[in-house]
Amino acid sequence: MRVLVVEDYEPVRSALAQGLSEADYEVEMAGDGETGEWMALSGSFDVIVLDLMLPKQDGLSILQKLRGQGSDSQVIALTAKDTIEDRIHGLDLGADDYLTKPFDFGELLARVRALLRRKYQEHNPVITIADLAVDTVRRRVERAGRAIELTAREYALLEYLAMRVGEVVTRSDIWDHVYSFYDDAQSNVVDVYIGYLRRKIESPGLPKLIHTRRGHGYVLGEIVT
Amino acid sequence: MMSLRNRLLLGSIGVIALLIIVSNMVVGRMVHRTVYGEFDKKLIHKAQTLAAFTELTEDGLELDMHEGDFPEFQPGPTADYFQIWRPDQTCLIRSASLGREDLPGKISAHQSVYCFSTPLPDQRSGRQCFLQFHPRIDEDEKSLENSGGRMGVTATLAVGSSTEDIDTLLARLQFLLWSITIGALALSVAAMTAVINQGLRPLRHIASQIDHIDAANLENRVRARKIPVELASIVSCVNDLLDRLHHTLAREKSFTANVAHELRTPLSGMRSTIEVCRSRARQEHEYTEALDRTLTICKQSQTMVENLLEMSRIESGRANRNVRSFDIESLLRECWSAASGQARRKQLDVRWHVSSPHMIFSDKDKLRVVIANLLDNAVSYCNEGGVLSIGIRESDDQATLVIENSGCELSCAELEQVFDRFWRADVARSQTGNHFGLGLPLAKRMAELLDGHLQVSVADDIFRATLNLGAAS
Repeated sequence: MRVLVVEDYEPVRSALAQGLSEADYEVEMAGDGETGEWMALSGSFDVIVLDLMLPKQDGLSILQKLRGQGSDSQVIALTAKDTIEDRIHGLDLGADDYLTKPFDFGELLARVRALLRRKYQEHNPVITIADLAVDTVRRRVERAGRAIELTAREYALLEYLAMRVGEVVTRSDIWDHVYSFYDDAQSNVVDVYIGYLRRKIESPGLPKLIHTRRGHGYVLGEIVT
Repeated sequence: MMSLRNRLLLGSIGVIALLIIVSNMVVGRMVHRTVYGEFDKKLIHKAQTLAAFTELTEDGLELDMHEGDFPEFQPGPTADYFQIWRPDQTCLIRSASLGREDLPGKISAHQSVYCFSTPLPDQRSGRQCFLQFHPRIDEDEKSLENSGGRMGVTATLAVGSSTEDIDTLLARLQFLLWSITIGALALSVAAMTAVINQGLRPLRHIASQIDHIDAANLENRVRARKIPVELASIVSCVNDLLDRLHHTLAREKSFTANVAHELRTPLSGMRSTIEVCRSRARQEHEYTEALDRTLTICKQSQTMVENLLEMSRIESGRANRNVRSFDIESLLRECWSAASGQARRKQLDVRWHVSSPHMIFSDKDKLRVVIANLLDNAVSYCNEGGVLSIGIRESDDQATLVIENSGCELSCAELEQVFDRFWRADVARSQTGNHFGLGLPLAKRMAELLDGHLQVSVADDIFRATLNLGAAS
């Protein structure tokens, strides 16, 4: 999943970026409002961690522009101001969540996960497809009760497919949400990783769960015959 | 202090009362004089009439008069009196009413006729007329004419008449006048009270408007429609005062909000750094780096808190000064050593215009804070490879420190805000990371505490800070 951190205070920005990246999110950073706005509007981020008091462009106006453009990024607003009026104002302008500084980093991570579930309308933190269980909190995968070891990239790919279970996911969707901007854009990479994933979760004898839709993409789900 | 209303009331009623009473007295006096004047005229006429009846005969003076002609001289409760004296002061004749008594009173040698008030023999108050006259000579006694004649004989006549009637009249008149006076006074008290109350209404109106303005609704102003011209300037002053109060309170509120934000930000930085570091097992250098970053933030917060406390102390008058004589040039170099590292890293062209030592008389520690702030500012906001100039001018017993840096992007409007607490030009934090916007406000207040003055100006991208210090010693 792709996360944008817009925060002008360097220590917080780099701590967040490091923490989120270590939690296997693809993280981009912006240190002022102008850059933050440009990145938020042009990139397709799943979650944006947005500080409201920014130089060059106020966080609330970025939020307004985002919503005005119909962006479906989930926004969690960060601020040192905690009056009720500020919370109401921020939420009404389109923030999906609100955290006051200083905050507990673990709580931020949990809220990011909750926002992702909301975005993909997966209410259960543990996504089950047939006998495959994807625990998005512990980032563990089990099939038929057996744990499956995946690399970070493989897990990210599976999680994304699981969040959109039953939907056809195009290669560009996968590219936008699972890979960082700095990776080379080759659709081949997606196919290769799908191959890795299949090898690990679809042992012989177990029903196929990752299906190819030629010309479209992939879909995770049980085959309905 | 008596109220304005009471003062106006007392003043106006006092003046009116004085006028009424004085005119009352004047009128009373004039009427008295007129009435008595008329009375005297009648009395004198009576005396002259009697004198006309007095004849000088061979046997002396005689009153050729029948008692019946003048009934008023008969004894009775309302009798008048007369008495005539011969030239030798013996009594010639008395009126019947007088009996055996004499009319009182002196005989003045200077006037031939005069009147005066005196109690009458029957104790009634009255008025008497004295007349000195030359009695006429009986036509039949022509012989007397030849021997001295008329002019040689002077008789004295006194006529007394009661003034009780006119006194009663005058008393009634006085009563009437005083009644009118009291009535007029009462009316004027009522009228003046009403007029003054009405006149002072705008004052009460304004007072009640001001009364309704408090800290919660400080944006209200006193409405200035239909205000008398005398109060207009007061209203305008009050409104200006409210403007200043509102502005100051708004700044204080925004300051308090800013303080909360400014203190929370470094705390948030420390917390996130530590929590992320602890979230998994790491190598030793990662822990060390995290600890270093946290310590840096901690020190920055400490500086900010110290600055805030110092400003608060200065503003509440609790800061003390420890003045002594010292060399400002060495203090400058001392402060410079802290900023020189960053100047080197940014490859600044540093120009010194200080040569010889300059002794000044001031508080060295506080001045160190001011200079350190100015140098830190100049180095931080100077552009990479830019010019930094530091100099001391001495003129008219005053030492002036001038610090300039190139690369300034502030507009004129922004320049006015540099001394506002927590104000930073937009780009500040992302570029310099550790400026909280307190350096210049604190430096300015501290300079003033030291009887100095800090000014800033911008010209051609050059930011100049000018610090006028106290007397050079």
